[in-house]
Order: sequence, then C-alpha cells, then structure tokens
Amino acid sequence: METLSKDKISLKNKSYQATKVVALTGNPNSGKTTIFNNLTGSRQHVANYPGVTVEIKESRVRNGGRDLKIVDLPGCYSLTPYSKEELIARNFIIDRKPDLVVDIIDLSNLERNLYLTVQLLELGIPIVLVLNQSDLAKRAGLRCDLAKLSRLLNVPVVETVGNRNIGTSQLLDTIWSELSNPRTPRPVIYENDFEEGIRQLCGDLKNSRDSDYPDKRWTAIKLIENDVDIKKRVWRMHPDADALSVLVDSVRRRLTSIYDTDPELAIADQRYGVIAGICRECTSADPRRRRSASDAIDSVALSKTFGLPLFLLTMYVVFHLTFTTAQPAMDFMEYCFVFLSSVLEGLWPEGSQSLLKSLLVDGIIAGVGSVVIFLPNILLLFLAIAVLEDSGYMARIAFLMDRIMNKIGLHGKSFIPMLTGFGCSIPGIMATRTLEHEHDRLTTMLVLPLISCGARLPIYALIIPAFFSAPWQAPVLWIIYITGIALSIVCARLLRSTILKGNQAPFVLELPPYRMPTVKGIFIHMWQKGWMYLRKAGTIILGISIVLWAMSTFPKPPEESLHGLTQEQVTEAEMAYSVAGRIGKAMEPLIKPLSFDWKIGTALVGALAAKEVFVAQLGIVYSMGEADEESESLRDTLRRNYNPLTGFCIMLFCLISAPCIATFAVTKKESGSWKWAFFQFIGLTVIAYIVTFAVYQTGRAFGIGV
Amino acid sequence: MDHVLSPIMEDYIETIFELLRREQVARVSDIATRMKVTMATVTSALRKLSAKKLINYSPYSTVSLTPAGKNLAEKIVRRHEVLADFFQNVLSLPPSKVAENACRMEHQIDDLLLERLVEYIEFVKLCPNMNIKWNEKNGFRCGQDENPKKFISCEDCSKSLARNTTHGGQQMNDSIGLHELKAGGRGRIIAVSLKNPGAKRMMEMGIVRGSLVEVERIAPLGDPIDIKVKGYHLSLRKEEAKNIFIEIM
Ligand SMILES: Nc1nc2c(ncn2[C@@H]2O[C@H](COP(=O)(O)OP(=O)(O)OP(=O)(O)O)[C@@H](O)[C@H]2O)c(=O)[nH]1
Ligand SMILES: [Mg+2]
Repeated sequence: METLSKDKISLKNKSYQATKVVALTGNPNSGKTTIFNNLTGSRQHVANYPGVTVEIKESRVRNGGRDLKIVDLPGCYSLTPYSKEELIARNFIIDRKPDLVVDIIDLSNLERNLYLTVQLLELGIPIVLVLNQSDLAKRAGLRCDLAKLSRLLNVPVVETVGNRNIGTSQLLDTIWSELSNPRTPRPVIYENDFEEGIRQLCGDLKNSRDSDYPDKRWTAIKLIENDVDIKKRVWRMHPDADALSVLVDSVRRRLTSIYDTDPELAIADQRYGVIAGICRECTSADPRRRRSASDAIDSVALSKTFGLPLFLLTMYVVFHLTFTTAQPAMDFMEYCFVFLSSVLEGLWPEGSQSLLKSLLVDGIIAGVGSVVIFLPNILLLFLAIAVLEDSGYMARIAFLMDRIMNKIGLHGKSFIPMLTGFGCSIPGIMATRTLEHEHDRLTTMLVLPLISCGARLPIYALIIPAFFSAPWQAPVLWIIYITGIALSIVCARLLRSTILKGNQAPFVLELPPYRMPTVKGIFIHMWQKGWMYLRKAGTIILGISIVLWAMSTFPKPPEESLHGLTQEQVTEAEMAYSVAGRIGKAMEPLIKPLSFDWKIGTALVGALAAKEVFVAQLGIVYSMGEADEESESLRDTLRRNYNPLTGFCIMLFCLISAPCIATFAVTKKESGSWKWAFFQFIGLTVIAYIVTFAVYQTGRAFGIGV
Repeated sequence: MDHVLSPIMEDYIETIFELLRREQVARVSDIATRMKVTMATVTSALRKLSAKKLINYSPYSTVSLTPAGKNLAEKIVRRHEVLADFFQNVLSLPPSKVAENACRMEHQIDDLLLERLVEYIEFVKLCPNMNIKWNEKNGFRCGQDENPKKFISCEDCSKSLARNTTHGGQQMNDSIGLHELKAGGRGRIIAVSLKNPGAKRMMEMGIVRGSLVEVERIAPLGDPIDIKVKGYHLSLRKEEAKNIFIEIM
C-alpha cells in the first residue's frame, strides 16, 4: 500500500518536470566560480587562491523555455571532507542528489584533479567533465585527447578557458543533452582484494532513493576508507548495524594485513595508480618544458633575502594607497559636501530655526556625507585586496607567515581570513571555514575584529589629518593597524593556551600559479565593494543618522530656561537636554578616564550599528553645535575641541572595542553559539577600555600630545 | 564501596548494560538468550544483584541499572575495550580470538594494570618509525618492512636509531625524511607514515608511493617548505614532511 502511494507521487512529480539541479564541483581554485559566473551571468567572488567560495550559491538559468538550477559549491580535494567548507560541498552532493554533477578540472593539474573525479564516477550520478584552464595546460605543453578520455570514463568532456569565457555555450549544450539523455559513468576497478571487500559490503547495503547515503558501491568504498560521517549515516539506516560494523571491521583488517597499511591509504595509492594509467592513455606532454613564469617570480618573491622585505613592502604599499593616495580625492569630496550644505542653508533665511533645514544639513548631510567622502579610500583598499587575491600572492603570504602564525598557535591559513578582514570582518569570519580544526577556527574568528576593517578607515581618515602633521600621519596609521595586529596575536596566543587548547592542524596548502589580475575583474570587485559601501551609507547609515539627529534634537528644553544665554550657550544647552545628550552625560563618568566627553560617548554607542556611524554622529553633533552659520570642516572643529592624545585614544578605542552588530551576528552563526559571540563582544570592549585607559593616563602623565 | 563480584555476576551487569544501550529495555528472556542460560538462573542472579543495589529488579518487570550498577558496567566495558584494543592492534590476534579472550580477562585485571596497558598501547602506536605489527612470517616487526627490500634487522635498526636520527644516516638504508632535503633536492616517495593526522589528506593530494617530489624552496623563516609534486606546488610544514620517506635521486 505504502509503496504504491509513493510511486504515485513520484509519477506525479515527473509530469511536473521539476527544475533540474546541476552542481558544479571540483578541486579548490579550479575555476568553478568563474564557470558559474559564465553560465549564469552572476558575479560571485573569484580569486586566485584555494578556498574562496565557502558557501553554496545557486542561480537559475532559463534557456529555450527550460529552467535549470545551477549550484556553485566550495572546492574539495576528495569526497572525504577535512574542513567545513568541504563538508558542505560533499553533503550537498549526497543529500540533495543533483541531477547532474559538473566536475571542473584544472587541466594544467590533471592528475590531482582526477582524484576527485574517480570518486565522483563511483556515485552513479551523471557527470560532465570540464577541462578548464586549458590555456595554461597548452602553455605548459600538455595535450589531452578528449575523445579518448570521454570513452574511458563514459562521460562527456568539454574543454574551456573560464576567465576568457571560452567553451561556455558548448558546456551548456552538453549539460542539456546529458540531462535529457544521461549516461552512467564507468567507475574504476580496484585490485582484487579491494573489489572482494567492496562486494562483501555491497551485499549488505541497499540502493534506495531515500536513503541517507548514495550508491552502494560508493558507500561501501567510503566505509572501507573509514569515513566517519558516512559510517554514521549507514548505521542510522541499516537494520542490523552491528553485524555490518563487524563486517566492515573484518574487511578493513583483512585489507590492512594484505597491504600492510591502512586501507584508506592503500586506496589512495591505487586511485593514483589508475589515474596515472588514464593520463598515460590520454595525454602527451611536450618534453621541452620551459620553467614557468610563476616559478621565476617565486624564486624572488619567496626567497630568503627578499621574501619578507617584499611582504612588508606590499603591506606598506597597500596602506599608503588607501590613505595617502586617496587623500586628494577625499578632500575633493569633502569640499563638495561642505559646498552642498552651504547651498542648502542658503535656502532658508539667516538664523532660521527650521527643523527641516536642521534635518537636511545637520542630520543627513553631516551624517551620511561624512561617511560618503571616504569612498575613495574604500575603493583603493579593495583595489589593493583584489590585486593581492587575484595575483596569487595571498596563498604565498600564508606560506611566508606560517612560521610566525605557528608560534602564536594559529595556522598559516588563518592569515587569509585575517587579510580578508582588512576589508571587512564578515567575509573574513566566513573564510575561517577553510580551517580544519575547530579551535583554530574559533580563535581566528574571535580575534578577527581586531584586524582593522574598512569601516574603521573613515574614523582614522577623519582623525589623523585633524591632529597630526603630514610627516606623522603615515606612522600614526601604522601604529593603529599594528596595534590591532599585535593585540590579535596576543589574544590568539592567550586563547590557544587557555580555553581553546589543542593540537595544531597540519599545514597543507596548495600554492596556485601567479596570474595577471585582469582590469575587468578588479574593477568589478572594486565596483561591487564601492557600491556596497554607498548602499550602506544610503540605507543603514542614513537611517541611523536620522535617528541620531532626532535623538540629538529632541526633546527641546523649555523656552524660559534659555533666556539670557548667548547663541553658543543655547545650542550647547539644547544638545545637553536632548536624549542623546542625556545618554552621553550618563556615560560620561565611565568614559571620562579615557578622555572622552559625552559627544564621543554617543558616537561610540552609534558605532555599534556600524563603525562608520561614529563619524556620522560626530558630524551631526558638531554640525548642530556650530554657533555661526559658516560651515567649517569637521576636522577643524575637532582640532579646536580635542587634543591629539584624545584623537589617538578615540582611534584606539574604535579599533579594539566591540565589533559592529553584523559581525556579532556572523560570529554567532559561524561559531554556532551565542556564547562565543557574547564572549567576543564583551571581551573586546573590556580590552579596549583597559588599553585606552592605560594609553591616555600614560600620555597625560608624560605630557605627550596634550 | 567497591563491590567485589564474581565474573559471572559481572557478565550479567555487562549484558544488562548492553541491552539497555541497544534496545532501551532489558528483559529477563533477552538476558537468558544472550547469556545462554535458563530464565530461572537469570532470575536468581538478578535477585542477588538487586540485593547488592546494583540493579532495580522486581519479578516480571524489566530490569534497570542503579547509578552504582551503571558505574560498574561502564568500568567493565572499558576494561573490555582496552583489552580488545590491545589484542587486536598490538598483539594482532585474529578477530575471533579478540572478543573471546577479552571477555574472559576483563574480570581479572585491576585499575593499575588497565592504565599501564592503555599507556603501553599508546606508546606502541606512537613509537618513532616503528608502527609495530604482527607478521605471520617474521613475528613482530615495525612499519619499515612495508618495503621488504629495504628491511634491515631490528638490532641494526635500533643501533642506528640510538646512534643518530639527525642526519639521514642509516635509518632505513638510503631512505630519508623529506624534511631533510635541501632546496632543489629531488626524490621518490617510498613510504608515508600514518602517524601524522594529515597523512590521508597528503596522500589524497598526490603524495603517494612512487611520486616524484622536489623541494622548491624553504620559507624565509625556515618552516613551511614548498614542494612540487604531480606538477603543482604544495606547501607543508617540516613536521609533516618528516613522515614522508623518500629515496634520493
Ligand atoms: N588561466 C586561466 N585562469 C583561470 C581559468 N579559469 C579560472 N581561472 C582563474 O583561476 C582562479 C580561480 O578561479 P575561481 O573561479 O575563483 O576558482 P574556484 O574553483 O571557484 O575556487 P574556490 O572557490 O576557491 O574553490 C581565478 O584567478 C580565475 O581568474 C582559465 O581557464 N584559465
Ligand atoms: Mg569558487
């Protein structure tokens, strides 16, 4: 009865022709996202290091009235996962059972890429093999006989050059024809003893559409490979798990004694044996191979003499670019906003108390404007990051820094999320998924907000020129960034030796070949980030600016209390009477020892929503406080009101203190518990308080910058 | 207070524990089938255990363990598992003999012996380059005879280990760890030791027996190394490279 009704349902579904799902998979950095973008017209992040994509991205493609769902997966080297993003990719394939798997292979690196292919062949799902990066392979003198490869594995094979969008339409055609007329790939055959073991286990497994595990041959092999996750799935489903468990153990033991090593290693040996055979059949290499340009670059960029100096120089250039180079453009934007607000003010008669004018000039322009003027800095920062990412230097940095990271108790690979964190902490925290050990991952995640993100840049860009003369500006910025890095090291060290103890994960990292970053790629990246920044300014920051303006305006003090005061005293009194003023005043005892007054206090509260709001709020408070109608730049106002030491303390506090709400939410999601998010939030704020306190009190005692 | 129980009684506790774990309920009839005795025998044993406050039992109902009983059961199971581990992975007893002997001996050993055994098992699994296993022809041997041609006698091996482990030397005839190669050095992989937790990942990435490797360079700070294998660049720490044995070419 039950089976009957089930059949009916599946028949029904068939007549509806559900959208077919096509999953893109392959080794990290083989070009999956590039191909995904080509196929779907999306603009997902592409970069030249392994582990860029850490989430599942989907997109629909309409083609001749038919619908197709294409899914981009994180890269994986094998179907036995090691890190979180690999697990995500593997589980998608075996849980969602896509109708077709497109295996994207880096042809210049065929042998290693086929290791995953061999496992995919065993799944029994139709496969399309894409030989990507065929331009690189050609340059290296490698030729591949597609027809032969296709015949050997019984799968269609397509050649592409992802970054130049070559072969995309052919790939799409192949996908369609394979979907309407699927073939079963030919799995590889192992040595007799293995096959015997596989047979034994297969006899005890069932193929069924709704089981937790895919094809039984594949599952049997994973059981022999001791894949813990697959074991669990099988145990859950199997009617006699104990008997099967005993059987698996005995098969493994027999294989161990035959091969004298663990079966999972013996099988890796055999797979590579099979792959070597396939390559011998299908490829021919040009023996006159030149030394690649990439190796030549590395022989300088990673050399003993130049490796570290070049790294430091690169970092210096990045910050110089985002700060000094952006200065003129920023000054110009600032000038525009000052001009705009004076024009707007001109619309009202002099001395007007219009609320609308105040909202426009003091709220929106002062708030949003003071954030938007830093767009040039943000663009240049992301330009620098995009170049680092696309050139392939990113993975090299992990290589150069692993020794130091190791001393701290972290993994060299942690450096990649941290570098991403210079742009924004959120993708940085997501990128920790590539770290294999949970404790490495948590530590990196927790200290990551100490890496000064792009949203904090406006704060520095506002304060530094206000208080420090030109020759001092760059060093002060360096001190801030380095303080953040140093603190993250100290905190990581502390965490790793107390609550997050544990062994180091092995450091096994592929170094991709250098590639020339394309102008188009970099501009797309810059444009996306710049647009995101503007959108944030136009939405969140606009909203918050209005709220903050209202909070700094209402309630108005009673008319009579203002009698006999000068204009300046009136604005001061009005502000102190408002909600923001009262909150700030309430905070004042707490932040006084850090040299902060109530105005900075309210800005700090606003900064919790987004760090840029700090600048917006200062803009609002001081724009309102301006007694005369002459607009002066916020910097000049600050210079009149605070001393350099306070300026420095502001930057320090903003650098270290609680991250923005979005970071908090991402930490919660990625660590899987509120506990860690709160720990990070409170911990950082406490550290910020202590450090700023120490710096201010020391500075004052020695009379530095007061 | 420790309960001194006879082996048979301990077996009862263990059986009940197993039944509860697998089936959530322990019935007298199931216990009887498992222990291959009559129901009457079971009932009388259960009464004794109940008197010792190790189980909760009243006639015609199911059986559960008291906290003390559970405690004891866990201890017995652990003894069983450690012994089984020892028999299987250190002594390489055939599987059929493992369970049988473990069942017999689990009642006899005390805590001190148990902990020593655990330490010993750990040690044997970790001992440098040994990876001791039973081999029907040669008796106990270390992992080095994965490659029988390269086998050197145990006396020689231990002598050379004692002499030096630093500079290649005679550790395994002319095989050396990959970490000992200088920049530019090349070799062919002859074995990958399993001690390293990353061993499997490295093999999946192409570090398998027979592959050629070349050390391209060593990082400026001296640690990770950049090797070329199967035509691509891979970086590894020396710690990991230690477990890859190569013959120099
Ligand atoms: N020369 C060349 N480069 C390519 C080709 N396809 C992609 N690339 C480059 O390869 C790098 C990696 O591309 P991605 O699409 O990010 O790779 P991915 O497979 O999505 O990588 P992960 O998300 O890290 O798993 C980028 O720098 C691309 O520009 C190609 O056919 N030829
Ligand atoms: Mg990707």
